[in-house]
Amino acid sequence: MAETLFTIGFHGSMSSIKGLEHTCNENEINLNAKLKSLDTVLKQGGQKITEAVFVKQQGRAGLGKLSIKKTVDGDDPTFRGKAFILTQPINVSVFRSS
Amino acid sequence: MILGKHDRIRVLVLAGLFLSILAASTAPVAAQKKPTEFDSHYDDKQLCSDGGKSGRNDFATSEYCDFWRTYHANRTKTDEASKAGAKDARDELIKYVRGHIDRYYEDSVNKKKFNRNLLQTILDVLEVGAATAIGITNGERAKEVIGIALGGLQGGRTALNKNFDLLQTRIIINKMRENRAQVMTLIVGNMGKPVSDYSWLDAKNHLREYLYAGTFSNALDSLAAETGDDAQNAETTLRIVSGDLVILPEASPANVMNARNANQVLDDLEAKLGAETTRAAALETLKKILEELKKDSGLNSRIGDLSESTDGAAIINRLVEIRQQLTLEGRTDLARKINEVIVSVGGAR
Repeated sequence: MAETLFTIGFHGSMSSIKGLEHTCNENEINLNAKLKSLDTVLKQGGQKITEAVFVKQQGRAGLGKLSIKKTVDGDDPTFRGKAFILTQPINVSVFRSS
Repeated sequence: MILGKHDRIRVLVLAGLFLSILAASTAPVAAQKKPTEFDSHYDDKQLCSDGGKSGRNDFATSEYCDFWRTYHANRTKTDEASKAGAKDARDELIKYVRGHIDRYYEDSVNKKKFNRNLLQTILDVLEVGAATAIGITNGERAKEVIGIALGGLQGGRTALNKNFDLLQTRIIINKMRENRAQVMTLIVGNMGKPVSDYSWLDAKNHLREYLYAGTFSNALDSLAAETGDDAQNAETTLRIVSGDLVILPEASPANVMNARNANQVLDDLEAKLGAETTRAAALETLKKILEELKKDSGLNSRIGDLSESTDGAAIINRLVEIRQQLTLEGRTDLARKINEVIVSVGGAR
């Protein structure tokens, strides 16, 4: 069965990577969905946005347990993405703990 | 060659005019008075004290101080009426100060435009006057001197236009408008929050950013900083997404903890619904959660007659669905309210 995706955005003025981590974790729980990707995009009109795509889940297990760090060579994340932090694009690595 | 008396007077007048223009073009624009609310020497308590420490005795009786006193009196109280009163007062303060900042911005930008237009008009008049003077003046030397002065005037004007080009001024003003809009979006996005999540001091700091976003120096800094950023964006070719994309606010550690605790409570209740001895109590707790949520006008219609259901698992699933739907609609405030109520009624862990 095809997975259901939810796409939402976060302001480009996100205060920090920790703030991004909190925001992704809260939205995993509120959407009952797992974060799949993060990307930097421009909204029509030129506003900088971090686009987050979530995959809908049936149960609540494992949601809200993300850790997000600045990407470094050799890390082994669940996936890598990009996000605007204080309007600057940053490469981030997303880890999921069990 | 010795100049005649009239020639000397003409030369002196021209030199005086030229120096006046130079002085006018380099004189700093008189600073606009920054809104009193952002006086760095005094906080709100001092500004609104009866003694009028702002140096303006009338400020303590301003609407600003009325709103601030209401906010200050209610901000730490826990009853719903006080919380609503503090939130309303904070939002009114935001609107009040925003109005002052907007007026300050308009005055500042208009004055810059006016000064520039005035200077260009003076230069036009002088150029035409000097060209006419050459035509009507007798004496080769006098014409030569006026011609040299006119050449200097035109050269100076070219340099002035090159360095303070109208287009560049427009670009800077556009940058100011963009920066201001970004900060205001942030402020408006926070206005729905309770004062415990977004206090007046948080809002005032954002309003200060809004004030500085409307200054020429900030716009120049911002343009310089974005040169590198734009280059990087050009390399990665940013996608353009639909204007309908829902933008959600940044979460605090407390928001995440509340969400996690809410899910933990739901998991516990689900487990209790599966056991004969604890089923009734779990259902009772769920009904209490629903009753509490129905008190919120934004949630009442969504909860509907769910509290009449005796299927605990269905109630939990419906709560999760409502929370999901609210988030997708950009109503993070209501999704957070659901988490808050689940934790407070169901028992935080």
